[in-house]
Amino acid sequence: MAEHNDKDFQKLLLFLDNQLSDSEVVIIQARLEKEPELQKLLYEARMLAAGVRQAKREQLREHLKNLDKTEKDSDKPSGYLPNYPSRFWAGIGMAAIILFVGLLIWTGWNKETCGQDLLENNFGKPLPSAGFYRSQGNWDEEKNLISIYDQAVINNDVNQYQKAEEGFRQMLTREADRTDIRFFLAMSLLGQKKVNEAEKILQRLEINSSNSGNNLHNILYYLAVTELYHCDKEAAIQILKRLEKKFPKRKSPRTKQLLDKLQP
Amino acid sequence: MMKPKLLIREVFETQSMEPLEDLYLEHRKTFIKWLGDKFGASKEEAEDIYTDAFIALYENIISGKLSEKDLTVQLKTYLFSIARNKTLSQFRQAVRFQEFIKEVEAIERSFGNEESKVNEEMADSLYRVFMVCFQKLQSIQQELLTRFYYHKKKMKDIATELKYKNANSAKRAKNNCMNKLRECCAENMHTL
Repeated sequence: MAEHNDKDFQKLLLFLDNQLSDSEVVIIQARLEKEPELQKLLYEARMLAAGVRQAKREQLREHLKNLDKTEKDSDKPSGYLPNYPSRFWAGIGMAAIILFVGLLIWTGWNKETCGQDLLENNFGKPLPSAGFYRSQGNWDEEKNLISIYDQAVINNDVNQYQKAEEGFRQMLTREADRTDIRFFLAMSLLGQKKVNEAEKILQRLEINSSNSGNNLHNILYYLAVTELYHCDKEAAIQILKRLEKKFPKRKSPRTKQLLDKLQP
Repeated sequence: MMKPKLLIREVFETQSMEPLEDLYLEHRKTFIKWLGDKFGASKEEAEDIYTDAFIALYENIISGKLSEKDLTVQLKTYLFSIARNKTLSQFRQAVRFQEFIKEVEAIERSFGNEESKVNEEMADSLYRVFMVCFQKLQSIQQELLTRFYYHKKKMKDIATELKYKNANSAKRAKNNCMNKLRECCAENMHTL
């Protein structure tokens, strides 16, 4: 009965999406007139579609409310402050400015000298995975599900790194020897600033003899990136030089630009 | 801020609400005050009505009901008129589920229940059950259904955007998600 229902339900979805042929439409309409069970299924399908639309509205409503909150927080009037004499506030203000400027100079200088400032540009952005690799097994066609692989890849590419990490880890439980998946797991970790974990994976990948060419190039590049996260500019330069030496014919503009910026 | 007609075109083309956000923030305070002064709405009610009117504006644009050619007044005036209608109908039903209730009532009517009236409590219960199941889907599956049923995008486009092999495989995935939702909702209906 349930299986029968499933088939009918699928048919009704096609009917609602105008995907049935004229003759099939006639048949389904005739059945709908006399089968209350089928009518119930059609009712359910339409209610579910209405639910999907309402879910989106709720999501938008939440988003707009958050915009309100951000706006309200940013324009809170000064009337919220206790009524101390103005000289007191002037003193507090001045101290805060000095502290802030000092902090800004210190962090800015520190970032600049160790190369961390470059990570905020494209140099530190994890490599997108879309279109690079496909699953090598058959498991990505499991019934009812979009493959975990595709989901992880999409999450990685839209910067949903935590979800991507979960997906890649799940994939590795099935295909433990996939070095490409390990690499993109490292990318998802890097996207979440879990630098130490990403670094360990990249180091293991580097010594794995099966990695060569493009793979090794990317592995070394991102190992240099992890060094920049650690504020170790010298180590990053060494790795990038090693990379250039290993691939003398390869002209990677990003590697060259990063090296130029690190040692002007 | 971008000119209204360009704004409409961009929202329609990107299907994103983001270009409208400045407009939302710009008129929020005026609207809330206007709704309070003119209709006696409380601040919370006015905020809800405003948010809802804004979502209606967005939906009218992405569905093509309001195109750049149709815009003969300022967007602000258009928004005012939606808010006014929403406020008046608020006396009949809750704002939050207004659109959902309309849809459910239309479905009921199409099955011959002409007199069917859905109140906020019923809508809320139905929606709660639905959400329990919807949240069990993976985020990409939720996105797939949203793009199809809310944005009314073509399967071919959805397949490209969400990296499915082709339109057929996206369609299969969509129908499987709907089946899962149906089974899950049936299991959870007893909680109503």
